[in-house]
Amino acid sequence: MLSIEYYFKTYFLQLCTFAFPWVNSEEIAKDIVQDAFIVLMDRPELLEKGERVIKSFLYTSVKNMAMNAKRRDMVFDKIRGSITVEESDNHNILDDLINAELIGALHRELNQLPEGCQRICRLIYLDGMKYEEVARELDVSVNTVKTQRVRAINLLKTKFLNLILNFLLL
Amino acid sequence: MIETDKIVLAELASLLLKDGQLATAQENELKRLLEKYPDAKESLRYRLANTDIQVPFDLRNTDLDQEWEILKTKYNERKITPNYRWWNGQWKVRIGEAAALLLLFTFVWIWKSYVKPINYLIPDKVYGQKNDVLPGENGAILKIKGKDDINLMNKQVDQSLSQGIEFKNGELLYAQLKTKEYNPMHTLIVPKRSTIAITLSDGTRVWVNSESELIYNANFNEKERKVRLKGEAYFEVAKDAKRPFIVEANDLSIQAIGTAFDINSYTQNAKVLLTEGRLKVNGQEKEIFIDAGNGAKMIKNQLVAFPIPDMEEATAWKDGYFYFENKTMQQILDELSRWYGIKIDSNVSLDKIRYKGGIKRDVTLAEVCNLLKDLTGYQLTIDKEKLIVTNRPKKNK
Repeated sequence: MLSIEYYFKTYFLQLCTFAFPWVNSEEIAKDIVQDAFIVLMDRPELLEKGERVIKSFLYTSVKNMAMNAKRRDMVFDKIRGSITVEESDNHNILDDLINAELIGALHRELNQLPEGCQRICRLIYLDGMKYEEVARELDVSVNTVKTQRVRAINLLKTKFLNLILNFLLL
Repeated sequence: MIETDKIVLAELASLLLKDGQLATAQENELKRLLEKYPDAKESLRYRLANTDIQVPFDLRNTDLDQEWEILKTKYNERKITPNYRWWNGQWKVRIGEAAALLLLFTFVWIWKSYVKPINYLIPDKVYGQKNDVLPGENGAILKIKGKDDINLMNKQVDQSLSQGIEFKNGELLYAQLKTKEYNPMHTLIVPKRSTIAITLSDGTRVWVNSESELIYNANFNEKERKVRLKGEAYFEVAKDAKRPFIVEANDLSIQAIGTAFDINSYTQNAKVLLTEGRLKVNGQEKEIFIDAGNGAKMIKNQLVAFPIPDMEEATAWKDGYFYFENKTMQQILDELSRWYGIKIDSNVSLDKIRYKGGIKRDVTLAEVCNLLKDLTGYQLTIDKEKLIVTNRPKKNK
């Protein structure tokens, strides 16, 4: 049985991504996801039901809380007559889910890159250093630099290689 | 509930997008799910063609270990809530049966003991309350010294009252007074569940809120126009530089020439909010001038001026809205009690949080409660003409 901490650290970011389109605020999205986990902590018996059920529970809680937060925000605009609230929800849940899962997966991929790997990639790709220069800078052998680079590229063999490199190099 | 197979679909789709391929078994499963949820097809097709994905915020700024610490602190600091697990299983059914039976008995009992029904209580079919309460209406009682009271409650038809005072379109008009000499004291009493607008003999318009009183002469004298207020009213003072318009409310005396302002004197310390022009405010020994967008109030025996964060606090009620911006739960409940004529029954300590939001005043109480339930952490239960406030248990969704 996996711990709450595991679920939190694995799914926090993608749940925030999932909540974001409703609330349009990073802080509110994070608060909502925190609240969803508090609800989960109150129901430890759910942990026995497996990862899929827990994910479904978390996604559903986040969705409901995010929609409530959005509705609350809209009430005030509504009385001013500036917008009309459509009760039907035009979010494409499946599309939001796919986006959230993808971002979660990419983030995990990125985090799996060892620290050394990340630094070497940064120096090679961003600062345009030669292997020798990198080796001197980091006080390691040239061979290490080469292996780390190959390792990083192997690890990053995904369609979104560019995206992840962008994350690294920012 | 989001179905687990939708989550499987999203997991497989993200895997395909990320790696560009899937194992055969996974591919078959994804195909099956796409047949079940064809909506996802287009989304997947688009994403396969475009590698740009929407990252709403910078992922690297989020420190998961730190967020985890925040969560643990939040969880521990949270008020202890009762454990709901025993509600599961057959307990639920038993309690449901008992509640239904109790409800039945209660209905029979209420039905039998209901001697004097209150006409603004109606059944509620939408929000799950025991009953609902209709909103207040236009109306007031006019007392003229030495005469019979004139009842203007819920009056729909226009009517000429004595001395050229008119009741027209739900408003009281003094503008066409026939006499200058006959000038008794008038008291306009606006009870709970009512509000009225009047035009005084000088052309000044006054909106008087629920549970308030306005005292004035039918004609003003040549030096000043003086009225006395208990409760809340919004004034649009007609310009007359020779005769200042004076409002006395509790500990404040307000002097205007031609301005618009709201005075709230439900509590001991009256508060004036100025929306237009300029005002002189007298409080005990001190007097100050304030300009539009500012308010004044006695705080600890000192007359203090302050900027108004939002003008709607002063005008929303007369335009037919409840305005909760920057109000505490206590203030919100007081307003409800005045407009719906209900008693507040609260045995919980109300927090000092200030809320945000608003709703039209012409909706029923149950609808307002439904909004407040979302807005605040309280459970609001209507029981005849009583509104019971309790803490809301953390419910599992």
